[in-house]
Amino acid sequence: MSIALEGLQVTLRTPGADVPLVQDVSFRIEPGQVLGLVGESGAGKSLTASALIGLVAPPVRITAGQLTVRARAVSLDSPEAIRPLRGKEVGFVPQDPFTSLDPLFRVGDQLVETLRAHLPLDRVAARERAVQLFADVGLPSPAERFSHYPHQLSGGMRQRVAIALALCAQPALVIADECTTALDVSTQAQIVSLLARLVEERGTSVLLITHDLGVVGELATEVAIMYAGRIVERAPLGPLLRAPRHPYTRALLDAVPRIGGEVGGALPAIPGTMPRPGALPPGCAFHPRCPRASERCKNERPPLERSGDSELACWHPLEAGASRG
Amino acid sequence: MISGILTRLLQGLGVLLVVGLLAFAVSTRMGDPVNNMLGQDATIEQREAMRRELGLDQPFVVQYGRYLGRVVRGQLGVSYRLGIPVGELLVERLPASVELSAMAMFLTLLLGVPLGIYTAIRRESVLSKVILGSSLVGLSVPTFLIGLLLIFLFAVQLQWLPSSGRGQVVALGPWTTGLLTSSGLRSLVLPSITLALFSLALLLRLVRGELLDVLHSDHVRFARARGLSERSINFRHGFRNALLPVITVAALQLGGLLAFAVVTETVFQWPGMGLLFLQAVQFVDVPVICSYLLLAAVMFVLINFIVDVSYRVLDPRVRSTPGGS
Amino acid sequence: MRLSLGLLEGTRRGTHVALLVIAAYVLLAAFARWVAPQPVQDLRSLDLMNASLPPFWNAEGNRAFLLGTDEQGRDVLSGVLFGLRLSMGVGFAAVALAMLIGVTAGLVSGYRGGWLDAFLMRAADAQLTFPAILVAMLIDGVARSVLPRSVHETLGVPVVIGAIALAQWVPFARAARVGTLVEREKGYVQAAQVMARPWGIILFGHVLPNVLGPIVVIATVGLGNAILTEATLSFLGVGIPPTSPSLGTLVRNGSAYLPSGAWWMVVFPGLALAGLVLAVNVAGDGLRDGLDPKQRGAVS
Repeated sequence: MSIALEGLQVTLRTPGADVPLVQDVSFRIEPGQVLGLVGESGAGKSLTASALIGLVAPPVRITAGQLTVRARAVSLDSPEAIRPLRGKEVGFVPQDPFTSLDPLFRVGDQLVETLRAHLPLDRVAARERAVQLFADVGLPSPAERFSHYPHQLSGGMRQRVAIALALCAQPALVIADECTTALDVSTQAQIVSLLARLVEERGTSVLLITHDLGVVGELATEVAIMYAGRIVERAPLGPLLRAPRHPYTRALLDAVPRIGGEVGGALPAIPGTMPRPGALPPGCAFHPRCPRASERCKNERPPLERSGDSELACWHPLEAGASRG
Repeated sequence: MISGILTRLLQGLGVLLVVGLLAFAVSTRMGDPVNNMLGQDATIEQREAMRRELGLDQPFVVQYGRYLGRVVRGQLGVSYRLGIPVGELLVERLPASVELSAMAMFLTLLLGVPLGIYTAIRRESVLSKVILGSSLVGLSVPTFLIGLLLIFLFAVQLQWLPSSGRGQVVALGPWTTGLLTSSGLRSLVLPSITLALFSLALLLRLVRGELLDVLHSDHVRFARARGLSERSINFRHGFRNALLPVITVAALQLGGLLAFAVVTETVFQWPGMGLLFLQAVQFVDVPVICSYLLLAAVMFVLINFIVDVSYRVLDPRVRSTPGGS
Repeated sequence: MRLSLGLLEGTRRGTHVALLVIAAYVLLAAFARWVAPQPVQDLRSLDLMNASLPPFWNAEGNRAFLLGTDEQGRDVLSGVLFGLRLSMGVGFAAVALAMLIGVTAGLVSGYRGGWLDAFLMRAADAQLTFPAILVAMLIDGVARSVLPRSVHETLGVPVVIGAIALAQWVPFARAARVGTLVEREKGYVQAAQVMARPWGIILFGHVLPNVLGPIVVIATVGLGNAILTEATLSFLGVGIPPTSPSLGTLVRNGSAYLPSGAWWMVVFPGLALAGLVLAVNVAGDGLRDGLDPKQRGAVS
């Protein structure tokens, strides 16, 4: 059963004007597939993630959007409609394992609490299930760790606990919001491979929010690039990495230093900064920073167009088939 | 944990010693006890005899040591103003202050905590705004004014309640209580309301602030994302986390109550220790001042100590850190 | 992406109103001599025939004395205006002094560390076990008994200012110290140290501006408290000498006549006081919301 998001719109309601933060975001994720949502800070990717579980607080509001999970279509602009989905159909792995677990409760108790909130389990059965889940996520000595407090665990272990909490009710979609960002590199690698394994075992769909292209390369099957609140390109992983069509995607990939690449010379950076919401330039939002911008780009915003299994919003895309230098 | 408690205990004792030293040093500088006791007309021989009797010819350290020895045995000197042993005075006045402060603390907790919770959970309601506004007023109006206005309204104009004094008291061993007589209870009403108002407003705002902070924290957000019920979030994860700082401040406010009692006791002529202290300051009744300060120091140190210990019990993070913070 | 949301409309209006009110108070106090109908310090202007008159809207009132008079014929309105000067003056001075002492102590303590830091912090902790009012009362009482009587009149006000300041320096010191500890590790401080700039300049020129935020917040709370403390001390009779009464002293004087029904001697000074502190508190709240980087309700 695939996950489908249609037309997500998130707006900031201020007394002066309504500022659109996320516009017209749609995607589809098949079971067992991982969609990586990539972009700079402020592009709107975390907001998208929060919107999918309805954790958006006024004056920021979800003004449009429909999420289809397990054949149920839910209107995202209604908080009551989304609430029953949390944890059960849609799981969420947070960014910072340090602050996301309640420091006053044992991790085992927190998992049992979550299990019993969604599944009809008695205390004993829930405890057993919890220990099993801890083992599944690779937590060493799960029975012992059950009685530990969050501050007694390392960062990597905490993130494993968070993943267990997110997955325990077996949701169809798991949203991982920068969940490796707060970890050191080696722990990151472990968590990434854990996620890969879990996805394969359970056939969950994953929305992977990150700005780290390395993680995307490891885990994602498809990638969507966000810029200034919109998706500007979406393609399967291989084609996107080999032959990006949007100049922004190209610039992002170029900016990643490569081991074994040329030594010396400046690291290519994208000039300028991403425009803030409410201060978007006319036409294509990327045009001030784009080396290929034309008059048309300055005046007309390119629509997101589908071709095959990809999507692209650009008037002057890079040639298909042109590989990275 | 034990070492942490011991450290705290020693620190408390240290504070007491310092306060004792200050009190003693001040007392030797403030006025001349020989003069106070013998009057202006004493002869030089009489003065010398008195000095020797009082031990005033000994070095400072020796005097301090003897002073401490007397204090520990309960011999706190004789009041310059009333000629009665200070110990007796304190014992006589203690019940009045304790009952007043206890009643005020009770009112503070009874109203402060629920109102604080309400204004945090139902932020937008009109009632919340009214309560918050009133709390701000409660913090701005001086205690003595409230007392006077209450007296004017309820005692002078309406004549429902007495305007001063403790009413009829019943002696229970060394203790005198006003709680067992109707006049005693009626006398307690206005003073305890007056005393409670400021700390009530403070506690209310504190509870609200802490709860709001917690409710917007990462771990509450994650709890929501996992699909836990609002009730569970508010009370289990929200309140318990907010409780810790609230307990600390509430306990410290008890100390504040003891201080503000001076004002309330003055306005209502309540025969407690606060009024005693004020009269002692006005008269420069050194033994009473010193003894009151020592007693106050003991109480505050005790309160701080109890708060520290309970923090360790309630917060698992502090428990496992050797020595705490 | 953290969105910085402005204040809610209601709060902003409240803060503006509060600031206007404070400005009005300041103006009235500054120009009291010209605004007040009666120069109450001048004993010759008093007439006992005018004693204890109720406010002018009352049948026995007199239009010349809008808010009534006290038992010596002193106009309550004028008394309030002059009293405001003292109450506000002492409050501001006390907070300023507390800030000076506390911030300096905190900055030096946090920067130098070592035994100075340990000592200051122990002292601060010890003092914190006592509520400010008691500390102020005590210092005031001590000063009073130590100083010869002749000096009481002239030194009365500075003593009260000093007492309140000494009672309130600790929060400033704490905030300054914490901020300094954080800033000390930052690049610009270490750069300045490498350039061998004298530590005094580093401390006051570089670190201080970055630490000011929370200190300003504490100052606004402290101002309200200082004004209340002064009023309380005066009410208790251990504050400013009664020859130039502050609002607290006026309430003290008037309270004796309350049982006989002369409410105006207590209510008007009291309302003036409460209004001032309320305005300060509201403005402080608004200021705090504006400076607080935490946004409640935004999502990143």
